[in-house]
Amino acid sequence: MKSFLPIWLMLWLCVASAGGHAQLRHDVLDCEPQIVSVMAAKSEDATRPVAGWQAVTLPDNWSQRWPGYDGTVWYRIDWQPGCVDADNGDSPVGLVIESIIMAGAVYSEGSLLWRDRHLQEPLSRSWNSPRYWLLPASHLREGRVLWVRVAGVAAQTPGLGRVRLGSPEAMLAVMEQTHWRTRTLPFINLVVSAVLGFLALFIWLAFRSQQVFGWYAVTAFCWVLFGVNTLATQAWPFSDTRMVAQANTLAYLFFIASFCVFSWRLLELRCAVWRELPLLALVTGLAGVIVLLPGWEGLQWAGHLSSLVFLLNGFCITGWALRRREAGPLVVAGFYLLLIAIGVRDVLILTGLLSSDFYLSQYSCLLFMVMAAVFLGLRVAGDARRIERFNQELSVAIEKACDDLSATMSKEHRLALDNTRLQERLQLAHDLHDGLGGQLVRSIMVVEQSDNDLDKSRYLSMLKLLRDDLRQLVDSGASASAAPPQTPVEWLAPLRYRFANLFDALEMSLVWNVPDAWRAQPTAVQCLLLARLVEEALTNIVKHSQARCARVTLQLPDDALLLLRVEDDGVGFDVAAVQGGGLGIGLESMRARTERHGGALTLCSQPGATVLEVRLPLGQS
Amino acid sequence: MDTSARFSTESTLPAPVLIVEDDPLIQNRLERVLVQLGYHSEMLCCAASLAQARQWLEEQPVALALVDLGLPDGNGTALIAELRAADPAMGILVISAWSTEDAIMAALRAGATGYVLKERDDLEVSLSIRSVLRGGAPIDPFIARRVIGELYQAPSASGEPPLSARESEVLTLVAEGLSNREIAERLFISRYTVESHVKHIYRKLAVSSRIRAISEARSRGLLDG
Repeated sequence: MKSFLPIWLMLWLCVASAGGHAQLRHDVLDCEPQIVSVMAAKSEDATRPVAGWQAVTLPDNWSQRWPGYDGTVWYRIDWQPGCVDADNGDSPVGLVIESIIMAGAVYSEGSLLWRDRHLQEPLSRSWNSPRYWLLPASHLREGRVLWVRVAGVAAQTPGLGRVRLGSPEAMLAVMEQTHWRTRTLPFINLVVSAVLGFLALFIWLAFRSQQVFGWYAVTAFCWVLFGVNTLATQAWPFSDTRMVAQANTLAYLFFIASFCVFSWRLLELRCAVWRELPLLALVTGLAGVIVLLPGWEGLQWAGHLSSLVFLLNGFCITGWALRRREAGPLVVAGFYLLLIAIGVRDVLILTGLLSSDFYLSQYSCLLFMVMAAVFLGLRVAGDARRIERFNQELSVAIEKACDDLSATMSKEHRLALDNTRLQERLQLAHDLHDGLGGQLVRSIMVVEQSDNDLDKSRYLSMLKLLRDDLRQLVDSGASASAAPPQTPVEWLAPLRYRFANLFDALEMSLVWNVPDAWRAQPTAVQCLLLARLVEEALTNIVKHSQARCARVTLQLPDDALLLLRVEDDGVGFDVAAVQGGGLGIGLESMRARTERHGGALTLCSQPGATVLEVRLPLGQS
Repeated sequence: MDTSARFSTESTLPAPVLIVEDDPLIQNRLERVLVQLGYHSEMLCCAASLAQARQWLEEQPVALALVDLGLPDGNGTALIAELRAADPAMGILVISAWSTEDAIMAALRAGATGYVLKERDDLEVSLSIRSVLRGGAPIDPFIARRVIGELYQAPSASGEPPLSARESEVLTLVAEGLSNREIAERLFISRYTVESHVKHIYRKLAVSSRIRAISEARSRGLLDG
């Protein structure tokens, strides 16, 4: 139990910097002023006591001598000046008092050198404030007694710290060294901790899921609250020394707890909740003890338990890290062990087994916080690198997907092309079967069913029909994918040219009535059908009608209908009679095709007027 | 009577006529058509290949040539170019079977003055030949459209428009499918004037194709300047 007490004390109060030093060094030169004796006496009414003086050594902790005594104690320090300087016999003497626990006043002989603001509760806190005075030469002549009045409480190692006398330069140097150790370093410690804490806090605020930063901030702030105790010179805002101790113990408790949680989160231990819930319960219980229990016992026990938790956690983490054998946990565990080692060293100093003026414990937390910051920074950098790598992998994957997609699409395109080609071939076969094949079969039947031999002209007309159909098949094959003609004029121009010259040569007249523009565009296939119709009709007129005049009329009465009329003033024929004849073959073939395209072909003939009319609905094939 | 008829025929019909055609049936058919038009069979000479045709041409020049494009030893277009180079004024007809527009255009650029489709009835074939014999140049709407496109694209060395205004008018009407007679009536000129315009257009087409060849050659660095 005794071994835990110093650890806590060391971490909590840094008492060692003010006291606990067991040995007074005898390094004073003969020529320097020397302390001859130090005595202490209790004073019930705060006045300088007359009796009850006991010899003590500095630094002094009166609670060991007078257990449980809260109040005022006077110290009497007799000293003698050093050897007299031949040139300057009355040289001044420097005085340094390293600490007064808690509040005090200093007299040289009869005159007051200095006093704390509050020598009654709430006591001022001079426990970590070294002070320096120059004792003027006039004082030295009158007397060589220093009186120090100290007000303290038994639980806070009350007493007087080391007192040193010497030449002003030497004492100033001691003062500066002590001030650096007891005030400046703790100040830097707290500022750095606060800055790191705020940094972590803002990171956590911006990125809530990274709770480890939040715990880092909590730990840093608890540490700052705990460490403020080393710098505070007044009890404010608390009303007495015990309340200050309560607040400080609470800060220590919370610091230990948040430190544990932070280290667990930092190492990403599994099942954290099974550690954190019991810890929460323990912390709540200890906080209750600190706040509710009167007296000093509860405070001390809570402090000891907190230190124990810290120690146990250090060992647990070390054991765990050794099992994991990973760099991060091992580094953290190493630092934990370093903290414990520093603690042990300071305990040894405290118990007098090691001799040193310098205690490392108050910086160990800072050390750990800096280490943790580096650790977190490395982790953030690792995450960023992973994201970078992921982005690279992603872009490579996207590129590959694009390549695959374009390959698939080009394959599909090829398939579509093949399919189109196949469709065209099928269409051609279909056209051959329906058009040329049907015509061929029909011609064969005509020949077979004729009772007597057909004359040559019938054969010829049948063959020529086949030829013209074939020509159309070839043309439609060549222009199936081509756009239909822009205007009716453009569409009919080749036919018109062919028959115009033919009619000219035969001295027949051919009149074309064609609108300048389409109302609704027929398809390329429909245009071919109509052209074939006109060709067939005009061929018949040239061959058989003996007409003098023929007329081709194209009408577009509305958007959905096309009307084609071919008239002549020839001899005419008996429509019914030619159905089975050679003339009929062409016309019947045309009628069948028109009907396949949804149109209707009508033919009426009488001498002087033969009219062939085709009505073709547009918008469908 | 016979002599005078022959004399008159010889004086009006350009002779001799060279028929370059490898299919004997079509050869016979063309001979028959030509005879119907007034030729005597001794005024006609037939060649079944480019080699035969060139051999014949070495012996004597011809006044009219009917050339098939697909011959066993090559394409008739080469022969057409040779004939045109030898005689800028002679009539050259392309005999084409199911040919594509491009093949016909190539032949026209080489110097042909018209073309006949084998598949057409005798009447139409004889009309085409008669038109050439009369000194005309039969021109199709599709050819007219191609000529309009090509001549206006071709670079003009002199900076003048490639076609005169009247030629453009004629070409436009041809493209609409009007016959030479109809064009003549539409423009109040004679049929012969129309045919003369068409012949000019053909000549320009051949020239423009040469200019294009030259500029193409220059752009590829085959010619200096």
